[in-house]
Amino acid sequence: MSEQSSLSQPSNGQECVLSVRDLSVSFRAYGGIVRAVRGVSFDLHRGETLAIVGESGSGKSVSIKSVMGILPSNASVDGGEILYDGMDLTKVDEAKMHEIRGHRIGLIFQDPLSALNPIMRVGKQIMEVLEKRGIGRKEARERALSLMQDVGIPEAEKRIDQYPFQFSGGMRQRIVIAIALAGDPEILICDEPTTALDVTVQAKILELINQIKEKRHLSVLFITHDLGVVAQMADRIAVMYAGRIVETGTSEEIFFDPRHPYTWALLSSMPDLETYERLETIPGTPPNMIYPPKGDAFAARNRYALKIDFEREPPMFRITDTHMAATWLLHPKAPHMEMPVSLAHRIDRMKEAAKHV
Amino acid sequence: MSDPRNILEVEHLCQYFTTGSRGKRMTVRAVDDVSFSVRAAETFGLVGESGCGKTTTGRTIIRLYDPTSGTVRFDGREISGKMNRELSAYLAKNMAMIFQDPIESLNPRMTIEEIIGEGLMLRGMSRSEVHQAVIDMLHKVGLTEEHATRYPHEFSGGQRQRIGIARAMILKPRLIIADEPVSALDVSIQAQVINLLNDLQSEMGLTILFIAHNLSVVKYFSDRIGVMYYGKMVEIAPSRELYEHPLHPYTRALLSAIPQPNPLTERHRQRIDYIPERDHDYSKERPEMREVTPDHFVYCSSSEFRRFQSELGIS
Repeated sequence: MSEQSSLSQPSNGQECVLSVRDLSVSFRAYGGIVRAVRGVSFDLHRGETLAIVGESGSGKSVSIKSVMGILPSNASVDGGEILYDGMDLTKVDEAKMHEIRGHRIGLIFQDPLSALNPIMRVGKQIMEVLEKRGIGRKEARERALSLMQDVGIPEAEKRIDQYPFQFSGGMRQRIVIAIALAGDPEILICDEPTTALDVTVQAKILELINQIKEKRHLSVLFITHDLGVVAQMADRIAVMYAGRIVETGTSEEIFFDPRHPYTWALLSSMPDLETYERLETIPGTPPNMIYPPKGDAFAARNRYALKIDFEREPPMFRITDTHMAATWLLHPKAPHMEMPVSLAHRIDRMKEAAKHV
Repeated sequence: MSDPRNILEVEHLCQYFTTGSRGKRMTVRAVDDVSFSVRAAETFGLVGESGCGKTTTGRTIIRLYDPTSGTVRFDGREISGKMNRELSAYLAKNMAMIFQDPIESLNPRMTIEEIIGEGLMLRGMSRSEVHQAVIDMLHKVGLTEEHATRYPHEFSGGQRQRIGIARAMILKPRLIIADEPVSALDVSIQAQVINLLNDLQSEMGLTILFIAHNLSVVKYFSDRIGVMYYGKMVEIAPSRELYEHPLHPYTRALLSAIPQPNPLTERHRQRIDYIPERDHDYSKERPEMREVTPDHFVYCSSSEFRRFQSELGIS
């Protein structure tokens, strides 16, 4: 195990379509400067789904908004770069960003109702994107129809001239996906796309996103706080806490061999269908990012914290070629700590369940 | 049918809402002939998707709405009849509600002490008695004395939900109706609030009607569960039984859609769809609530009933 300061190695030679390097973003707020993202690095490989997991305030949405260039006006990118297609997206001007956003990088929002224009027919909203790409009106309508069919909207000929309020939540999210696809993007960013939806509708939308990804060879960046959804979608996972990535690895590594105490806590705090014992909780609340704590930001809530956690921020320790975690527990001189017993039991149960499929 | 263990009995409850103006009137059957009972000191989970009527059921029981028809009995007393001052006081004494949105449900212009103590003030307790009770309650829900003089906006989501719980608990109600109490909270905070509700329940001997859409949380928290679909109760069973032997096709569809935090099984998950026209034939037989095995009720026709029994190996 060796110390590793960046995550830049493209694992097993996969092509990297988007690379975020040491990104820092802050907000000017009433009480001071909020350090929302503090040195985040990740790579999105072609054809994979990378899930960024974290609680509210962890900086996951802010990271994505920086990639899309849609940060609010009181935010500023303090450092780092976002490399896409030979460009640094933190430096390109708005005109150039306008070409990329929605065309080469598509975005699906959490709330489909506020992502749609309530007084414009849905067909028109899809066609708008196509016409912008220089496609004639008649062909745009044809393509909009076929996109609506692609995303599973029945009776598309009839539905194309309806307004968003005439659609259910799941159908609205399908329209939003159709709009994102109209730009023919190569990267699809999904920001909690199913959080507002019912569980049966959620399952269908997730299946749809997976289908589209396969069919169009998309690379997907998926933001969520729901570990069940992550398990279904992600090839790789990055866990964020207090503006930093604290652990990253393949889906199997994060779920079956988690190393960071925050990942342990996150995995054990939600009941699954086999949980009967008392839930493990994370004491306290996330730190106020106007005053980021010294050392490891999770130390104050971490019952496995070492003295050094309160003094020095841990670097990323490499566990395998794909698995890394920022915790002093991985230092060769650190005392040996086991994950919580209840989590170890749960992982055993999960492995057992996997044998039966 | 009255079982002495029951503290709350809901029979043939209907709650219809009419919308639109003259000529274009529409009736929404939000709750349509729902019957169930809740035993003393148990947690009864009510699950279903948005619009299934679970929230309306809770609100009708506590009389935020006047029921269209049906009866609700609490501790043997009918509480679904005409509202009067005496009934209103009876409800306030015995029931309390915890809401989903901890921001919307707290008055931003009142201090935490005023919010939590309001119910006691209305009962005519003196200021110093109320103060002491509020402080005790704050400790119970994991807050401190210094929080009493602050305002809701100074708290995080999880803390606000604790305040909502304190406000409900301070009246020492016998029944708590908790409407999605954790769904607006972050994962790590959800666990804290669930544990708190569990502790308070065993300490105070509370009965809880737990309304939620997160099936893993409902299973963990509830003794028995009722599944609702489009205003109807379709299945009622002890929670473990429901998850091990779901019978109604809608329950099966709902359970098959829960994403589990296990990447190995998730990739091979088979989702089941529920299509009422395909899954039921009610042209000849009328469905009703039937007890398939002791304590396990399903809304089904007599031929479905026989099929469920044979699936479970009962003849």
